[in-house]
Amino acid sequence: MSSEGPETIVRMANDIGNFFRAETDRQVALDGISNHINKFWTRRMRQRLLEYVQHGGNELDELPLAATAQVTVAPAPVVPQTTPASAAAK
Amino acid sequence: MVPNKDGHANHGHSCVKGRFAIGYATHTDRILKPMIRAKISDPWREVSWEEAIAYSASELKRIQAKYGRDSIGGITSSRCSNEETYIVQKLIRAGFGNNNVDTCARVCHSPTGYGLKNTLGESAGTQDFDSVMKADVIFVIGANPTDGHPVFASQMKRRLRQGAKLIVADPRRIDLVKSPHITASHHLKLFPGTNVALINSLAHVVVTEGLVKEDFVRARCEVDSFEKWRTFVALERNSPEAMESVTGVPAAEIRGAARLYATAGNGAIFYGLGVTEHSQGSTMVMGIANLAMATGNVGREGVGVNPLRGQNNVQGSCDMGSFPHEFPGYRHVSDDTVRHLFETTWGVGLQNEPGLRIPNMFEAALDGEFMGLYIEGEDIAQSDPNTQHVTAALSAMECIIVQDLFLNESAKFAHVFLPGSSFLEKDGTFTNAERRISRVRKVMQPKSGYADWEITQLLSNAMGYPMNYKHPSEIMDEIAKLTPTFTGVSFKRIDELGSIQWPCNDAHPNGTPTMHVDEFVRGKGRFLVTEYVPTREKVNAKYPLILTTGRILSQYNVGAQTRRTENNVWHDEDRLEIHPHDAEERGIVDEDWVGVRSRAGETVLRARVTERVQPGVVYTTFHFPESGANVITTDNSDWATNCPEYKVTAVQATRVSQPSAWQKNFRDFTEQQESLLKAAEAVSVK
Repeated sequence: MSSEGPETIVRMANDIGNFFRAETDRQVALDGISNHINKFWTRRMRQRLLEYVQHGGNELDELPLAATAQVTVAPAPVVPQTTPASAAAK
Repeated sequence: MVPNKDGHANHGHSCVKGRFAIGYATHTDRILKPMIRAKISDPWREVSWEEAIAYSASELKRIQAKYGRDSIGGITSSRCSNEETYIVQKLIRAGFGNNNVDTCARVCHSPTGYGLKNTLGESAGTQDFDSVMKADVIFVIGANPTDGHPVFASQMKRRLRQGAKLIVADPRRIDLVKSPHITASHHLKLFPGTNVALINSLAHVVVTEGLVKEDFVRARCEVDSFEKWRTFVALERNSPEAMESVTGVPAAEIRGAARLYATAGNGAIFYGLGVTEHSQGSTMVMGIANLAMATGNVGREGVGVNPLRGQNNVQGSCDMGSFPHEFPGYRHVSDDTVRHLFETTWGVGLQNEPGLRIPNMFEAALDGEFMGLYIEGEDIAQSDPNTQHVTAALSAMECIIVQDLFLNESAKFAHVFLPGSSFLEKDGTFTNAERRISRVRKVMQPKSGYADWEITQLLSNAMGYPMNYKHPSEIMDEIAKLTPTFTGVSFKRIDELGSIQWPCNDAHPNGTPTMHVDEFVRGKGRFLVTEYVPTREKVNAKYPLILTTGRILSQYNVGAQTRRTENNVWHDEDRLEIHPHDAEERGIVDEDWVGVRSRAGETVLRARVTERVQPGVVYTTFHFPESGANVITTDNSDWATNCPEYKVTAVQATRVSQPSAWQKNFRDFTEQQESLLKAAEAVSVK
């Protein structure tokens, strides 16, 4: 089972949701879940989560499922370009 | 070996784990020449440094060309210096072109960084060690200082003998609970996995019995967050009585401990891996910070929240940007201003996306997407959970480069071995749990010819990203230039002061022994609601016992170093502690071989029947690879950081007469790998 496959992705999202479940302000909880996923998950993991949701997201708990509306897949990262040796830092 | 008598962290006392380090530093098992091989079934071949570095770089480039830029990464070490760690993460971010860098703190104190950052505003402990001498009550949670941190434990015991009160929260009866002239006022002998239930119960007592330091909270903390937290912990479901059946701790004990901590004067919390290595590790760290803030026990000497770290430079390796989502100084890679600062200084574009954590690397390897790994000074094949899963991932990779002293468990899966140095061969700095940056000074030349930082630099240059440091002090100068909490740090300044506790900058030119004095780093302290969520690792008829793991006094972590010293005279085998009731039910007596089976795997250990553990709980250490302690531990992890849940594994224990299948395979594989190493040495001799 891959950690980037549905089972682990779902488990991780539900675990995050469990932490925010006690939050009385629903929007704060949704922001907390989505911010955590956006901040710590790789882009590929976020993509797979959103693909899973597109296919129904059946195993996601209600709160993390709702939070996925705020999960983003950022544009392609900056392509590193090694500069000439003279410009590179030590 | 004895340390400098003026050492600010240890006051001249040496830890038994390192006192005999000359034994491993000069051990005949040290590998002193680079080696390469195409497959792990091939004999090792000793080569020149030039060939080893060129081969490593060509393999990493080949993998990136075939599988993509993100198909390689690296792991830094909490045993290596700040300077070494810094340039490994720099190599990966700037030279590999991705953020696939992680560190062994992933599996020990990553929840500390997360939990304290979100509540107090900084990913570090709040005090210096000397602060304990002004504590009136010492609360030890999930830590075993006399075994894990014996030098500090001695200082703590001095304070306890002077009359400070002691509270211990631990499933086991650790030595500190009762020792000469010391008896804990409360031993909260909780059931493993129920830390958050316990901390909420303690908080419930503080809130409902009027023990909150209202003035402190109103002046120093976010009032809204406090009120939300107060309402939550006051709920009847969080009371000691309601939680008694969950934690196993009598409600009266919890009430007594909460009253003592909140009212005895200066209350200092010290915690360890028994807090962090849980599915709610980060939640528990937040719960501890909540409790300290609510009782006004932050921001002066004698109090505070004090993580006792897993290895010598855990704090430093985290400070140096070893996590895949943040640069040195705990700043997120998506922060444009910060990233541009590093891009400008390093002369290269950098990714704005978090990279792979160690568990993600394993999974990506099994998916065929992560094929190259550079490991400096860590042994993930022994230390990480679910060993068979880890070794399957390592076996799937096409190029593993290990830089270490010995052919450790991970190196047996490697294709390149780069011989590293012991601390006696290093110039640099370490940062301990006090945030104290101390110099480590070279007393002998690197036995392999190159210092560890030089090897990383050679690899970086071969990868096409130039590094031209002449001395580790230049690396520290760059760290200081880029990291606001290190602005005033230099080798020269450390030599002048003896050591420096960060933050050290214009505002704190001599460093900061106590943090959060007038205000929290984040401004106002933030309370977070910490709902108890039971672990999914459940006991049942098939797995009726809970296994928890830990360390012993004379061995250090995976034991690669201390097993190669005379310390083995004191401890030469990991044992399974089992309560007499559980042992009797199973017909187990002392010294019997016991099969320990979990949902992840099975191993065999010899039994030690003892009342040190409670009924229903078994315990072992993980210092010897053949013990296979992590064959049993599972993939469960902390919700926020993926720190493994080492402390809670459901198992069954049965009397057996032979090693487990894994142990037999391990023995065969070890014999094969040792013969492949001998083949290289034999060629070299000729």
